Amino acid sequence: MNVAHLGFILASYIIAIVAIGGLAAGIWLEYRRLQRELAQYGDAQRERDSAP
Amino acid sequence: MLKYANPTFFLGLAGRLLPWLAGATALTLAIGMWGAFFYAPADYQQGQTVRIMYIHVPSAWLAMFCYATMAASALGTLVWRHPLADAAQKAAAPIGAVFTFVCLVTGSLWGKPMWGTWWVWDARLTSVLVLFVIYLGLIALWQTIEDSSRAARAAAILTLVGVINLPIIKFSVDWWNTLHQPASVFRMDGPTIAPSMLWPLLVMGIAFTLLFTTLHVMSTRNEILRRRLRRLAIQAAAGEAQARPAHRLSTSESAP
Repeated sequence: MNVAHLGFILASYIIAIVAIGGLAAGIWLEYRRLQRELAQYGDAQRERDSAP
Repeated sequence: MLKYANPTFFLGLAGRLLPWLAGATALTLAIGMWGAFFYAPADYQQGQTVRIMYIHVPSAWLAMFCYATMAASALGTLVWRHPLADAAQKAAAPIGAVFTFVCLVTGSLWGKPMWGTWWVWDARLTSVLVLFVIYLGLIALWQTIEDSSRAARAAAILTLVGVINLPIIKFSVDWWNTLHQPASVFRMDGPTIAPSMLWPLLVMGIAFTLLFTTLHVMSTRNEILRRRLRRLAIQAAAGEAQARPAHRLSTSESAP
Protein backbone atom coordinates (compact mmCIF):
# COMPACT_ATOMS: atom_id res chain seq x y z
CA MET A 1 0.00 0.00 0.00
CA ASN A 2 1.26 3.44 -0.90
CA VAL A 3 2.16 5.13 2.43
CA ALA A 4 1.19 8.60 1.20
CA HIS A 5 -2.25 7.33 0.24
CA LEU A 6 -2.58 5.54 3.57
CA GLY A 7 -2.37 8.99 5.20
CA PHE A 8 -5.25 10.24 3.03
CA ILE A 9 -7.35 7.17 3.88
CA LEU A 10 -6.67 7.47 7.63
CA ALA A 11 -7.31 11.22 7.59
CA SER A 12 -10.67 10.66 5.85
CA TYR A 13 -11.86 8.09 8.38
CA ILE A 14 -10.56 10.06 11.39
CA ILE A 15 -12.25 13.28 10.23
CA ALA A 16 -15.52 11.42 9.57
CA ILE A 17 -15.43 9.70 12.97
CA VAL A 18 -14.54 12.92 14.84
CA ALA A 19 -17.19 15.01 13.02
CA ILE A 20 -20.05 12.52 13.29
CA GLY A 21 -18.97 11.26 16.75
CA GLY A 22 -18.71 14.87 17.98
CA LEU A 23 -22.19 15.61 16.66
CA ALA A 24 -23.63 12.49 18.35
CA ALA A 25 -21.87 13.33 21.64
CA GLY A 26 -23.13 16.92 21.45
CA ILE A 27 -26.71 15.75 20.92
CA TRP A 28 -26.44 13.27 23.82
CA LEU A 29 -24.91 15.83 26.23
CA GLU A 30 -27.59 18.35 25.28
CA TYR A 31 -30.26 15.73 26.07
CA ARG A 32 -28.70 15.13 29.52
CA ARG A 33 -28.61 18.91 30.20
CA LEU A 34 -32.24 19.36 29.12
CA GLN A 35 -33.34 16.44 31.29
CA ARG A 36 -31.52 17.95 34.30
CA GLU A 37 -33.12 21.37 33.78
CA LEU A 38 -36.60 19.86 33.27
CA ALA A 39 -36.12 17.82 36.45
CA GLN A 40 -35.31 21.06 38.32
CA TYR A 41 -38.56 22.60 37.09
CA GLY A 42 -40.39 19.43 38.13
CA ASP A 43 -38.83 19.61 41.62
CA ALA A 44 -39.73 23.30 41.96
CA GLN A 45 -43.31 22.52 40.85
CA ARG A 46 -43.58 19.69 43.39
CA GLU A 47 -42.23 22.02 46.13
CA ARG A 48 -44.86 24.65 45.23
CA ASP A 49 -47.63 22.02 45.18
CA SER A 50 -46.63 20.56 48.54
CA ALA A 51 -46.25 23.97 50.23
CA PRO A 52 -48.92 24.57 52.94
CA MET B 1 -50.85 10.20 10.81
CA LEU B 2 -51.11 13.44 12.80
CA LYS B 3 -51.72 11.36 15.95
CA TYR B 4 -48.26 9.82 15.50
CA ALA B 5 -46.79 13.30 14.98
CA ASN B 6 -47.93 14.35 18.45
CA PRO B 7 -44.82 15.60 20.39
CA THR B 8 -45.71 13.67 23.57
CA PHE B 9 -46.35 10.48 21.56
CA PHE B 10 -43.07 11.09 19.73
CA LEU B 11 -41.10 11.36 23.01
CA GLY B 12 -42.42 7.98 24.16
CA LEU B 13 -41.78 6.39 20.78
CA ALA B 14 -38.23 7.83 20.64
CA GLY B 15 -37.40 6.35 24.05
CA ARG B 16 -38.50 2.90 22.88
CA LEU B 17 -36.96 3.12 19.38
CA LEU B 18 -33.56 4.64 20.08
CA PRO B 19 -31.84 1.60 21.69
CA TRP B 20 -32.87 -0.55 18.69
CA LEU B 21 -31.85 2.09 16.18
CA ALA B 22 -28.46 2.59 17.87
CA GLY B 23 -27.86 -1.18 17.98
CA ALA B 24 -28.81 -1.63 14.31
CA THR B 25 -26.56 1.33 13.37
CA ALA B 26 -23.56 -0.11 15.26
CA LEU B 27 -24.07 -3.56 13.73
CA THR B 28 -24.43 -2.38 10.12
CA LEU B 29 -21.52 0.07 10.54
CA ALA B 30 -19.31 -2.78 11.81
CA ILE B 31 -20.31 -5.05 8.89
CA GLY B 32 -19.88 -2.20 6.40
CA MET B 33 -16.43 -1.22 7.73
CA TRP B 34 -15.33 -4.85 7.66
CA GLY B 35 -16.53 -5.11 4.07
CA ALA B 36 -14.87 -1.82 3.11
CA PHE B 37 -11.47 -2.76 4.54
CA PHE B 38 -11.26 -6.56 4.34
CA TYR B 39 -13.75 -7.80 1.74
CA ALA B 40 -13.65 -5.18 -1.02
CA PRO B 41 -10.57 -5.42 -3.24
CA ALA B 42 -8.32 -2.50 -4.13
CA ASP B 43 -9.35 -0.74 -7.33
CA TYR B 44 -7.23 -1.47 -10.40
CA GLN B 45 -6.74 2.26 -11.04
CA GLN B 46 -7.24 3.93 -7.63
CA GLY B 47 -5.52 1.26 -5.55
CA GLN B 48 -6.26 1.39 -1.81
CA THR B 49 -7.52 4.99 -2.07
CA VAL B 50 -10.87 3.56 -3.19
CA ARG B 51 -11.53 2.81 0.53
CA ILE B 52 -12.30 6.53 1.02
CA MET B 53 -15.35 5.97 -1.21
CA TYR B 54 -17.00 3.86 1.48
CA ILE B 55 -17.51 6.94 3.64
CA HIS B 56 -17.51 9.63 0.95
CA VAL B 57 -20.38 8.21 -1.11
CA PRO B 58 -22.76 7.40 1.83
CA SER B 59 -22.03 10.88 3.26
CA ALA B 60 -23.01 12.41 -0.07
CA TRP B 61 -26.21 10.33 -0.20
CA LEU B 62 -27.12 11.32 3.34
CA ALA B 63 -26.33 15.00 2.74
CA MET B 64 -29.02 14.95 0.04
CA PHE B 65 -31.39 12.59 1.87
CA CYS B 66 -31.27 14.83 4.95
CA TYR B 67 -32.16 17.85 2.84
CA ALA B 68 -35.07 15.94 1.25
CA THR B 69 -36.28 15.09 4.78
CA MET B 70 -36.05 18.77 5.71
CA ALA B 71 -38.03 19.72 2.59
CA ALA B 72 -40.81 17.26 3.54
CA SER B 73 -40.83 18.72 7.06
CA ALA B 74 -40.92 22.25 5.57
CA LEU B 75 -44.10 21.28 3.72
CA GLY B 76 -45.51 20.01 7.03
CA THR B 77 -44.67 23.37 8.62
CA LEU B 78 -46.17 25.50 5.85
CA VAL B 79 -49.24 23.38 4.99
CA TRP B 80 -50.29 21.91 8.36
CA ARG B 81 -48.28 24.23 10.67
CA HIS B 82 -47.45 21.18 12.70
CA PRO B 83 -44.99 21.94 15.55
CA LEU B 84 -43.26 18.55 15.20
CA ALA B 85 -42.55 19.23 11.51
CA ASP B 86 -40.65 22.41 12.42
CA ALA B 87 -38.81 20.63 15.25
CA ALA B 88 -37.83 17.79 12.88
CA GLN B 89 -36.65 20.26 10.24
CA LYS B 90 -34.61 22.31 12.71
CA ALA B 91 -33.09 19.15 14.22
CA ALA B 92 -32.02 17.80 10.81
CA ALA B 93 -30.05 20.88 9.67
CA PRO B 94 -26.86 20.39 11.78
CA ILE B 95 -26.83 16.66 10.94
CA GLY B 96 -27.10 17.44 7.24
CA ALA B 97 -24.35 20.05 7.56
CA VAL B 98 -22.02 17.51 9.20
CA PHE B 99 -22.68 14.85 6.53
CA THR B 100 -22.09 17.45 3.78
CA PHE B 101 -18.86 18.56 5.53
CA VAL B 102 -17.66 14.93 5.71
CA CYS B 103 -18.58 14.47 2.04
CA LEU B 104 -16.62 17.58 0.99
CA VAL B 105 -13.54 16.82 3.13
CA THR B 106 -13.30 13.13 2.22
CA GLY B 107 -13.85 14.02 -1.43
CA SER B 108 -11.02 16.51 -1.21
CA LEU B 109 -8.78 13.94 0.50
CA TRP B 110 -9.58 11.50 -2.31
CA GLY B 111 -9.12 14.15 -5.00
CA LYS B 112 -5.58 15.14 -4.04
CA PRO B 113 -3.94 11.74 -4.75
CA MET B 114 -6.31 10.86 -7.63
CA TRP B 115 -6.83 14.15 -9.48
CA GLY B 116 -3.73 15.93 -8.21
CA THR B 117 -5.79 18.73 -6.64
CA TRP B 118 -7.74 19.31 -3.43
CA TRP B 119 -10.52 21.22 -5.15
CA VAL B 120 -11.89 22.17 -8.56
CA TRP B 121 -14.85 24.43 -9.24
CA ASP B 122 -16.70 21.82 -11.23
CA ALA B 123 -20.50 21.55 -11.15
CA ARG B 124 -20.75 18.58 -8.74
CA LEU B 125 -18.31 19.95 -6.15
CA THR B 126 -19.69 23.48 -6.36
CA SER B 127 -23.33 22.37 -6.03
CA VAL B 128 -22.45 20.28 -2.93
CA LEU B 129 -20.63 23.31 -1.49
CA VAL B 130 -23.80 25.35 -2.14
CA LEU B 131 -25.76 22.68 -0.22
CA PHE B 132 -23.35 23.08 2.71
CA VAL B 133 -23.81 26.87 2.62
CA ILE B 134 -27.62 26.43 2.56
CA TYR B 135 -27.39 24.23 5.67
CA LEU B 136 -25.27 26.87 7.45
CA GLY B 137 -27.68 29.59 6.31
CA LEU B 138 -30.66 27.69 7.72
CA ILE B 139 -28.91 27.12 11.05
CA ALA B 140 -28.05 30.83 11.20
CA LEU B 141 -31.66 31.75 10.32
CA TRP B 142 -33.05 29.77 13.26
CA GLN B 143 -30.46 31.36 15.55
CA THR B 144 -31.19 34.89 14.31
CA ILE B 145 -35.01 35.11 14.42
CA GLU B 146 -36.25 35.13 17.99
CA ASP B 147 -39.93 34.49 17.24
CA SER B 148 -40.00 30.73 16.71
CA SER B 149 -43.10 30.66 14.45
CA ARG B 150 -41.61 33.33 12.15
CA ALA B 151 -38.28 31.49 12.12
CA ALA B 152 -40.10 28.25 11.23
CA ARG B 153 -41.92 29.87 8.29
CA ALA B 154 -38.80 31.61 6.98
CA ALA B 155 -36.70 28.43 7.29
CA ALA B 156 -39.40 26.34 5.61
CA ILE B 157 -39.57 28.75 2.64
CA LEU B 158 -35.77 28.88 2.32
CA THR B 159 -35.61 25.07 2.54
CA LEU B 160 -38.16 24.65 -0.24
CA VAL B 161 -36.34 27.18 -2.43
CA GLY B 162 -33.10 25.25 -1.82
CA VAL B 163 -34.65 21.97 -3.04
CA ILE B 164 -33.79 23.07 -6.58
CA ASN B 165 -30.17 22.28 -5.68
CA LEU B 166 -30.87 18.52 -5.20
CA PRO B 167 -31.50 17.64 -8.89
CA ILE B 168 -28.63 19.97 -9.80
CA ILE B 169 -26.29 17.93 -7.55
CA LYS B 170 -27.63 14.60 -8.85
CA PHE B 171 -27.52 15.44 -12.56
CA SER B 172 -24.60 17.89 -12.56
CA VAL B 173 -22.27 15.13 -13.82
CA ASP B 174 -24.62 14.49 -16.78
CA TRP B 175 -25.53 18.09 -17.62
CA TRP B 176 -22.01 19.51 -17.51
CA ASN B 177 -18.54 18.30 -18.34
CA THR B 178 -17.14 17.67 -14.86
CA LEU B 179 -13.97 16.23 -13.40
CA HIS B 180 -16.16 14.29 -10.97
CA GLN B 181 -17.03 10.84 -12.35
CA PRO B 182 -20.63 10.10 -13.41
CA ALA B 183 -23.05 8.04 -11.29
CA SER B 184 -21.99 4.41 -10.92
CA VAL B 185 -24.61 2.98 -8.52
CA PHE B 186 -28.04 4.57 -9.16
CA ARG B 187 -28.22 4.36 -12.95
CA MET B 188 -31.01 3.43 -15.35
CA ASP B 189 -28.89 0.58 -16.76
CA GLY B 190 -27.80 -0.71 -13.33
CA PRO B 191 -24.63 -0.26 -11.25
CA THR B 192 -21.31 -0.28 -13.08
CA ILE B 193 -19.11 -1.24 -10.14
CA ALA B 194 -18.10 -4.80 -9.24
CA PRO B 195 -20.40 -6.61 -6.76
CA SER B 196 -17.43 -7.12 -4.39
CA MET B 197 -17.22 -3.32 -4.09
CA LEU B 198 -20.94 -2.64 -4.41
CA TRP B 199 -22.24 -4.57 -1.42
CA PRO B 200 -19.92 -3.00 1.21
CA LEU B 201 -20.91 0.37 -0.26
CA LEU B 202 -24.62 -0.46 0.02
CA VAL B 203 -24.17 -1.75 3.60
CA MET B 204 -22.38 1.50 4.49
CA GLY B 205 -25.26 3.38 2.83
CA ILE B 206 -27.76 1.52 5.04
CA ALA B 207 -25.54 2.11 8.12
CA PHE B 208 -25.33 5.85 7.41
CA THR B 209 -29.12 5.99 6.86
CA LEU B 210 -29.66 4.28 10.24
CA LEU B 211 -27.10 6.63 11.80
CA PHE B 212 -28.93 9.63 10.40
CA THR B 213 -32.29 8.28 11.63
CA THR B 214 -30.85 7.70 15.14
CA LEU B 215 -29.28 11.17 15.32
CA HIS B 216 -32.40 12.80 13.88
CA VAL B 217 -34.73 11.14 16.40
CA MET B 218 -32.35 12.13 19.25
CA SER B 219 -32.04 15.70 18.00
CA THR B 220 -35.81 16.11 17.42
CA ARG B 221 -36.41 14.84 20.96
CA ASN B 222 -33.95 17.52 22.19
CA GLU B 223 -35.80 20.20 20.25
CA ILE B 224 -39.15 19.17 21.78
CA LEU B 225 -37.62 19.19 25.29
CA ARG B 226 -35.96 22.57 24.62
CA ARG B 227 -39.36 24.07 23.66
CA ARG B 228 -41.00 22.50 26.70
CA LEU B 229 -38.27 23.99 28.92
CA ARG B 230 -38.69 27.43 27.33
CA ARG B 231 -42.45 27.28 27.92
CA LEU B 232 -41.89 26.34 31.57
CA ALA B 233 -39.40 29.20 31.99
CA ILE B 234 -41.90 31.67 30.51
CA GLN B 235 -44.67 30.32 32.77
CA ALA B 236 -42.39 30.59 35.81
CA ALA B 237 -41.42 34.18 34.86
CA ALA B 238 -45.10 35.09 34.31
CA GLY B 239 -45.97 33.58 37.72
CA GLU B 240 -43.27 35.67 39.40
CA ALA B 241 -44.44 38.84 37.59
CA GLN B 242 -48.01 38.24 38.79
CA ALA B 243 -46.85 37.64 42.36
CA ARG B 244 -44.78 40.84 42.53
CA PRO B 245 -47.56 43.54 42.06
CA ALA B 246 -49.77 41.66 44.53
CA HIS B 247 -46.96 41.81 47.06
CA ARG B 248 -46.52 45.56 46.45
CA LEU B 249 -50.28 46.10 46.85
CA SER B 250 -50.36 44.25 50.12
CA THR B 251 -47.43 46.30 51.51
CA SER B 252 -49.05 49.64 50.45
CA GLU B 253 -52.36 48.59 52.01
CA SER B 254 -50.67 47.88 55.34
CA ALA B 255 -48.94 51.28 55.32
CA PRO B 256 -50.42 53.85 57.71
